[in-house]
Amino acid sequence: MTGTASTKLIGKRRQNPILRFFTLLYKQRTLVALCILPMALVFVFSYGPMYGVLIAFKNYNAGKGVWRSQWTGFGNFQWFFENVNSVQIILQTLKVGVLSLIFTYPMPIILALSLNEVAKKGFKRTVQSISYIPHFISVVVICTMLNEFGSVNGLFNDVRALFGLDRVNMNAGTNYFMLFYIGSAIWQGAGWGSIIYLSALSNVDTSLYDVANIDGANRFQKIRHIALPAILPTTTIVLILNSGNILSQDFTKILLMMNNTNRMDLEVISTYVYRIGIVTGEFDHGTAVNLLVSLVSLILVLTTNRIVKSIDPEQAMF
Amino acid sequence: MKKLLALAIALLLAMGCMSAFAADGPIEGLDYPDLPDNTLKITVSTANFGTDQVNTKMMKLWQEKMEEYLGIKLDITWTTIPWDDFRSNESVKLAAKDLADVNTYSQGDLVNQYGAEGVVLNLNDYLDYMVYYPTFVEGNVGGWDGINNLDGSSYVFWDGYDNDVNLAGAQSFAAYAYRFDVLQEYGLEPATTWEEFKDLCADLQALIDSGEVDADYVLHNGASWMAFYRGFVGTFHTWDTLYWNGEEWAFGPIEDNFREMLTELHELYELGYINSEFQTDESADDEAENARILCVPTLWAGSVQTWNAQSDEDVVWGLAYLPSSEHGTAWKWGSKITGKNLGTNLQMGIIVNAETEYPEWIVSMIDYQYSPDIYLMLNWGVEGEDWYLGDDGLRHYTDKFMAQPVSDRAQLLADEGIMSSASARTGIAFVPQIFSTIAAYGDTEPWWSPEKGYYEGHYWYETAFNGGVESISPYDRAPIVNVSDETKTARAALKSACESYAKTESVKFITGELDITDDAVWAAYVEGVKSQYKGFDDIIAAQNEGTDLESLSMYHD
Repeated sequence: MTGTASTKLIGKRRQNPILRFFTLLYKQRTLVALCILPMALVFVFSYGPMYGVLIAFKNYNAGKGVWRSQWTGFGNFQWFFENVNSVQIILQTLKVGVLSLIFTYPMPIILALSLNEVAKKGFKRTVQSISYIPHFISVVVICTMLNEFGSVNGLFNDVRALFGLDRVNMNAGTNYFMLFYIGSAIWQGAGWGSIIYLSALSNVDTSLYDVANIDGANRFQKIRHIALPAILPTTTIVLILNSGNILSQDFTKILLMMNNTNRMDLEVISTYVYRIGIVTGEFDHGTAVNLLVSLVSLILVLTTNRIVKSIDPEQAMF
Repeated sequence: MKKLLALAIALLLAMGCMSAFAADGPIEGLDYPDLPDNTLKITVSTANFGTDQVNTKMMKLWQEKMEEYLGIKLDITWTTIPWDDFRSNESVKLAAKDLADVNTYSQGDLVNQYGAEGVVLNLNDYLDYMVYYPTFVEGNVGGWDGINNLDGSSYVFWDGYDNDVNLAGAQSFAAYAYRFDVLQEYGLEPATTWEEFKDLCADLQALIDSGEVDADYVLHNGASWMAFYRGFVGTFHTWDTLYWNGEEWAFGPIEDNFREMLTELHELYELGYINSEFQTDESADDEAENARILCVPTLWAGSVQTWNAQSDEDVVWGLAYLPSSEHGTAWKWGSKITGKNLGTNLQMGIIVNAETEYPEWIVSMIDYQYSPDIYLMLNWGVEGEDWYLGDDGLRHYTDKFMAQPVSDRAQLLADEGIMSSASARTGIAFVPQIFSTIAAYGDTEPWWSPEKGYYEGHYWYETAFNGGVESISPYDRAPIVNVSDETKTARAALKSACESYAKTESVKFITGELDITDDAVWAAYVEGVKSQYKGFDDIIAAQNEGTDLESLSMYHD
């Protein structure tokens, strides 16, 4: 073997990506060791059960198991679209998801920015603590409260009566559902959600505010040019992640807010999957519908990320 | 000689070896597998119905009696889960094959697919190990044919019932509750026909409007989770689910009679008789106890005793049988079959894990729960301590319970693990219940009938006397149906999916959100119901094709 040939071989070995990958792993073995447990958890509990999505394409017989059940192609998907409510379920899902995002996403940001402007620390801490408390109330308790307050003789109707309005059964039908659902979500989540933004705001270099003061910037100009850019990366990531949850509403809350007057009208994909998949025992059909949701959610995340990337590539997740 | 001796020794040794692998069990002539330390160590997953039965006095007696019968020791690890949670997780646990050795079960036909695949034990392979359960099976319509699958298998020890008084009584949706104090004060009487009922509602509304009676509404629902129409379907000879209507299997909520009923209810709603919160008010009991309503057509009859106990003395709730209509005497829901039986709605029971190590012992153990030794004891308690034989020749609870207020008795019985309380199902649920115990500890409630006027009675008995044989719905005496396991499973799913849809849409018809008089709207509703489950019409057709009409001759009401 000539010297030139030997050098070429060594060069090829060095360029082998697999070898290079494992060499890198070995060099960073301490970090790799740290990652083993979390990765194992992800593989066991997230990737492992993924083979179960196969039942979306099968006439699943739990006794026979996943592999021995008969294939049905897209039969389970077709069944969903044959349901007279399927379009309404999809629309209701989108309506709840989009409106929730529109109204609940900005609230923690607004609260964080407002709190950031409060000079008195004692007042700021008190407001923060009070706003966090609803987060710790069980959704079951929240829904019970809503049911009580929304009844004809409940608190909300007492307030209506103060303004001379008729008492109405706010729990019946769908008229007040969005108000209750989103209102309670804001009440419960705004304070808790503001923590991450307050954390980002605490890292802002205070000299920027000093400079802004010298330049004569008013309060809103300081928010616009200092505070908002400081939390922009955080708000972007939260938006991208939330956009993936548009089709995955607060399933428990919707289920608890349902009654015999509105069950079908409030049905969203997650409650439908629960009712048909778990309660009725049609696991294959439930899986098919849920798989559909997962695909749409993935598309939503990718689309949002692409939009963000087109506006400001540095803020995109990938 | 030596050869004979050797042969005798060999025989003795062989017999000794055989005896090491077979133990004496409760049934003579049957071989039971030998148990380590003569102890059957198993797990049991069961439900609690409000009171945890595991550490009660009766549970200890159950174990003692069971060990005595089986001739072995029992080492049972109990898991008890509140009934609602138990039911909601059951299908998932079955699908995950996460079964204890012995499991309470409540999902009807769903088990068949798991049995066919060897997850659940086929009990018919162990018929020799049963002595008492067959009595209940043979008391049922169709006997063994009624419970067996087409391939001859059976996977559930179905919940038994001993109707020892031979009365076709019922407890829910069999009577309307009225404010007797108001009716009597104003010279009114409960309705015997639908037309009378509408007239009575008008009279009561007039009393409210004039301020003579202080109430908010004439009619209200007994509980928001119950479909309001449930109290009316019997009057209009229809049903709220897939049912036998006397001629064929049909899905009640899409029948013409159901539409007729909704039309009538819409009329009552429009006239302002029905509380607008009839499907959302979660404190319906408060409305009754605080005298804010005058009539509750949809209820569990036992509610009346509670309302009377909780309300002011001058408020008197009472019961009267359902009003009839031009369709005939109103049908009541869930009237009991006479004698020992499994009921017509095979839904609940006990299943055994197919992988359990000692199925012979377990089958004999569960079978013994159907013996009078066990179920009489668990339903009544201990003689002398909990009950005594009266001069009338009947059993009566002792003063330990009867000297206490009526409202406390059920819990006192439950704390002992006595099953008549209904909130403690001792043993492995479901041990058969006895009709006579249900009424034995309770009080009577006010009743009215055209023949007797106002009087005192107990709903379990009065619903049988007042309705008569005509009031027994065809569904409660349905013929047996022979369909495949797949159809049985699909049938169960169809009921669940389609009932949910019908419940919501029916409310819209009652309130007028949907026009009940518009044929196109009704047709769209019917289509909507059918679209909730694939192959709706095919499943009902298969149900009708598999119906054995000859089995109807086995009822003896």
